[in-house]
Amino acid sequence: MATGKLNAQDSWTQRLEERALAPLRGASRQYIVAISILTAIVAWGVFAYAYQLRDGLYVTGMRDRVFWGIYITMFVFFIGASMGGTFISAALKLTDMTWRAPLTRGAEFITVAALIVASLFIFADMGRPERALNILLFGRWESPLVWDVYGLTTYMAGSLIYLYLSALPDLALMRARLGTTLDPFRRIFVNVLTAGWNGSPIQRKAHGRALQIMTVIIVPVAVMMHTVTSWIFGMTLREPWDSPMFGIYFVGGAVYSGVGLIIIYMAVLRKTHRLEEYLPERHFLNLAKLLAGTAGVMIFFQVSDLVTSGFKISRESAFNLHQLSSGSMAPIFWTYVWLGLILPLAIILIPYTRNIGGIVLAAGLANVGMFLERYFIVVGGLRVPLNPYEPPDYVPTWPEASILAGLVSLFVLLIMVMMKLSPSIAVSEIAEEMEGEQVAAEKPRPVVTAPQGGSQ
Amino acid sequence: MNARLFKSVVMPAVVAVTFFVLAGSAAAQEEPTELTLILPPQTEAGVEVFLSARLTGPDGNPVEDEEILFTAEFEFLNVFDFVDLGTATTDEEGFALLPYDPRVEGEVTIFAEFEGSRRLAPAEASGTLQTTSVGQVYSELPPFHIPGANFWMAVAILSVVWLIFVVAVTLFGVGIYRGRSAVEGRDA
Repeated sequence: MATGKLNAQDSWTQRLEERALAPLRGASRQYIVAISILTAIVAWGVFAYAYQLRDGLYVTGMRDRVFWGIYITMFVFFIGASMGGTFISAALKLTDMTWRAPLTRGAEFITVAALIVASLFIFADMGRPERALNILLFGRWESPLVWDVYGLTTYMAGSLIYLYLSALPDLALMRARLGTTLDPFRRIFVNVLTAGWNGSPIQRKAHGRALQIMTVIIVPVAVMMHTVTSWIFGMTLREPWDSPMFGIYFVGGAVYSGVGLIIIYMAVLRKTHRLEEYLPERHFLNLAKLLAGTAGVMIFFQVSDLVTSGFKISRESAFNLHQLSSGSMAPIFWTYVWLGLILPLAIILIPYTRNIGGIVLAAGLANVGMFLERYFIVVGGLRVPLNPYEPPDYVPTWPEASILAGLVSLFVLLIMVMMKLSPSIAVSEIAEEMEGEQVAAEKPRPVVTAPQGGSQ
Repeated sequence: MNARLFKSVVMPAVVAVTFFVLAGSAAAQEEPTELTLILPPQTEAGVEVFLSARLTGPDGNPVEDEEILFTAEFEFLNVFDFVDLGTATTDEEGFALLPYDPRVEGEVTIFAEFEGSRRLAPAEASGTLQTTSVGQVYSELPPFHIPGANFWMAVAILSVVWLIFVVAVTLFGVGIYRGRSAVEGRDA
């Protein structure tokens, strides 16, 4: 009986390995088409950036009053996505959520890709990007912008170490199974990253300890990173941003959009890699609970923020509340509230729509909502006149829209490339969890089952 | 031949002449206007005043329902530029009133501008507003110091995080080395 179970588990693990490694053997036609389209959009974005670089930021819709636009909106959005990714992966690991194993790799991919793209949005926003190094050389420590640069660098380093440690056993598996069949670039890549790894107990122990340390430290670093990003706004003398709850508000939003992105990643992976067996509906339902909980928290934050600023109303907050409720920002604000917060929550709460399709829709809406929220925070905040002048308007121009499309495509492109450099799901971790679950299931009856199993 | 000449030369010439004559007569028909800017002789920084501009027609009659733009010239880091203070619409007596809250002490040049319309010619006026200060409009509070919260604390926090990264990577590196040595020793 035990042998039968062992065989079943072996074949299950083999199937898992086969499914996870199959996409690494080659590229399908759909993959090549998708990569080509994304590369073309990225190239168009590069052209638009070259145009912007030549003529200056005048070609954007940004001016002296609304001096941050779609670039900073997207920077905040992607920092949130990055925080959500690793934070969720590490937090679920720390809380021993065994179901997390299949989704951790996706979360880590999202984090790294989002951090790269977020930092590129900063460069897109700079009129003189060649002076970027000056912030490190001459930056003042009193400025939250400088804190953000150091925070971003630290989080990027931590996330890369975490991704590497987490992916190492799977890279070793890739080397062992596909070593000779890989193209030269990937063979060198995998050999360099797995150099010296033989999977011996000593190495596994050291690997486990290092991963545990990184799991613990990456959670506060992720929270720090996004809190510091919120302080860029919160520490500015500008009424709609002048809120002590901005830090936790941004962290909540980051988890919300991060969970949404992981759900979308899982759904795409499940469909394209035929991983229904390893990404069952249970995983989506568990993440949906997290998404719904975060949606509730975001609604609470939103109400709390608006009610307190509206109660002790000042001239500037009156302007802000008016522009959000019935002014020029109203369509964005109400779309965010209804489509970005309430509808995803409703989709998950109603049993009829609580299925994979519904959950993916809710996740997509959550991300659209978070983009809109970042937009009205950044642009809406800058529209509030601090002197007696006309409230300015901001409309993104074609170079901004092109650079935005290029960098969003780059985000997807980076994830797709990473999916060809390492297995897209954490094979070793899933197998370990499977073994752990089987051991736990067998524990209550070892005395009875052992002799029987041995006799068969 | 005559028809072609008519089409290619005479017709466009007639159209152009008609256009310029009409445009010229339209321009000539614009009625002259006069804009008078009325400013308080003196005010205090932080005290709201009304900038007033009166728009009148050729016979001195007030012009109603026209928009007046108020601007001021300011200097920032040796750069002089105009800042839009706002717009106001003239009432039945031709007055456009804009509340203004001067923030800085000294003399500010205010401009009022009427862009004109199809019927009325544009006009502008300027004047100076003398602002005194009875005290500071903005008062800077002494900074609040949290004991120990300074540059070095930020460096310490960041260093601890990076140190933990280094410890994790070192532990891992040592483990890889030891594991490799053990296997090589066993094989040997």
